[in-house]
Amino acid sequence: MALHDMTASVSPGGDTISASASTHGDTSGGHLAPLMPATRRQPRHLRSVALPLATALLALAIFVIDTVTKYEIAAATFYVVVVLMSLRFCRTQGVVTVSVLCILLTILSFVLTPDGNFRSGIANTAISLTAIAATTYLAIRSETARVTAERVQAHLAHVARITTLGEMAASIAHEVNQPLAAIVNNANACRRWMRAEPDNAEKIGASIDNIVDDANRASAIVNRVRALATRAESKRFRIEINHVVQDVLALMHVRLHESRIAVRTDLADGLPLIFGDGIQLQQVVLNLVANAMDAINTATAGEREIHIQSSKSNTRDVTIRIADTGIGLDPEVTSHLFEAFYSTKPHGMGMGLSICRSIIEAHGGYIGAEPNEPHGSTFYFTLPGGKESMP
Amino acid sequence: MSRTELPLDHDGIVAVVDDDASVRKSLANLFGSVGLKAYTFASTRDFLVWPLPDAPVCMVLDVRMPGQNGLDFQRDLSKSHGEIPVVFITAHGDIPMSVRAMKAGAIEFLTKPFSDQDLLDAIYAGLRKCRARREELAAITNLHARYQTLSARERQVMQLVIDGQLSKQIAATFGLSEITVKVCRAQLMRKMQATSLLELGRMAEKLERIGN
Repeated sequence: MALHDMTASVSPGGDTISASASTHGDTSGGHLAPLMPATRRQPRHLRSVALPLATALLALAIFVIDTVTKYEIAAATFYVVVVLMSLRFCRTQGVVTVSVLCILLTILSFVLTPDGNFRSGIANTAISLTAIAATTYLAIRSETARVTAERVQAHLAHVARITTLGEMAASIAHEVNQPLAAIVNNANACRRWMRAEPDNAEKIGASIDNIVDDANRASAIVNRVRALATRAESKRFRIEINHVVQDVLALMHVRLHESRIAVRTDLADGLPLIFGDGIQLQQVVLNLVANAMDAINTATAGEREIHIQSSKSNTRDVTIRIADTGIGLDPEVTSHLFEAFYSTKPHGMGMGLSICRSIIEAHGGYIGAEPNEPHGSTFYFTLPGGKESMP
Repeated sequence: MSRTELPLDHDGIVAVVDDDASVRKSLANLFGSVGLKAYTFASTRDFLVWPLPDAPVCMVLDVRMPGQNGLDFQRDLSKSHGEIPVVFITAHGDIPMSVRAMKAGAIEFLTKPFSDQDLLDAIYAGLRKCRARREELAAITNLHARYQTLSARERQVMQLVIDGQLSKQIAATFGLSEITVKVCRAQLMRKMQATSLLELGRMAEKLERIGN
């Protein structure tokens, strides 16, 4: 959204002269990308097959060792490692299945083991079975706790989104009202073109085309809002991070205008796709841009600009940097910024950045902040990129 | 070109300043449908570099603009561009905003989406106002030009004539013959294109008002 680049083209002598906003990077009216393109209909992420394979091989190795060694050697206790490994790629049911398999293998080994002290064998096998069962129980407990924590976090993030949307209600209404006003104008113009003698078929067609475009624009805005408002559970797809940024800017367009803040974007082409939850990542960007706005509004004078950059590293990590010209950060503050209930704002809850951090960390990335020279601050987050790149 | 509106303005021009591309396009379409010439601008900055045409102009201005608020712009505009009638449009207006706009001389304050007739009525009112002002300005310029053709003596005589003095008195004041004064008086009436003393008086009043 290049606020500085708006230009009007005036052609003399015509009856109606249209002006155009320069199109590069302009989200003021032209950005009609559907919600998170490329996030729908993506094939499900194939979980790495390496870990399950390693786990199976380990289980097999333990089975072989347990079978060929004497009863006195309790190799079966190492099945505990197999159970713990399965936790990395299985849900509760899977872990239970793996655990049951381990128990069966232990018993089978016991039956097949050719020699050794039979009594020791019974004792060792009992110890192994108890260890496997106890580990499984604890593993399931921790898995359940993790799932609950995840759900609570998603719910909290959802509540934060709804709160943000509430604050944005007026500007969203404005954003929807613009295309509606255009529709009304075009419809009225169309009626007049039809009433004219002779009627002007070309102008009537053009008016109707405009109406369709404007209606689509209004509907795209409504879809964006609905997407932010409805879903609480996390859904991951392959997404283009640049689209996430553009969608957020389209929603914040009016707020930024009102505050007379210019947004400069430098979005790199060909970035690796991110495997993640587009809505949650939108929330992170939304939060960081809103914070940047607050920082600029708190600062008394000077430039009013937010600079958003996307880039990739050699290791295919994707980084988004959001730099503002606001009041900047106290070095002491920086270390606490992402803690829950820590806020530098008089009415801040201290939830925004901590939610951002938990979202980014849940995506395997990291988030940070640093002061800008000569003023303002930069917030950035880095996410691991997938093998595929944006076109 | 359709002609469905009665008070058609043949040379009236509408200048639209709105940062929203689809709103600009729709307004250009609407004005086109009633045969009004419209120019659209994405920002007030673009409007300011536009050479103002020698015709009645009415402006349609969005209150919210990037860089500068439409209300602030209206205030600055009167300094640089004279008094261009302004019709404000806004996606959500509030009462203080509209009061401020109307106080500053706005023709109308419309909330999007607005009825086309309301907008067109406001535009025609604005164009009428602009035309009247232009005509008045032209008349004064013309009058001033005529006054400039008078000689110093004729101007003195004109002043005394307007003050109600008779030719005889004026002749005495300047030490001239009454005939000379009468000739001078006829001459200045001709030059000013005044048909009566009363008309000359009115002209003098206008000239005084523009600080001559």
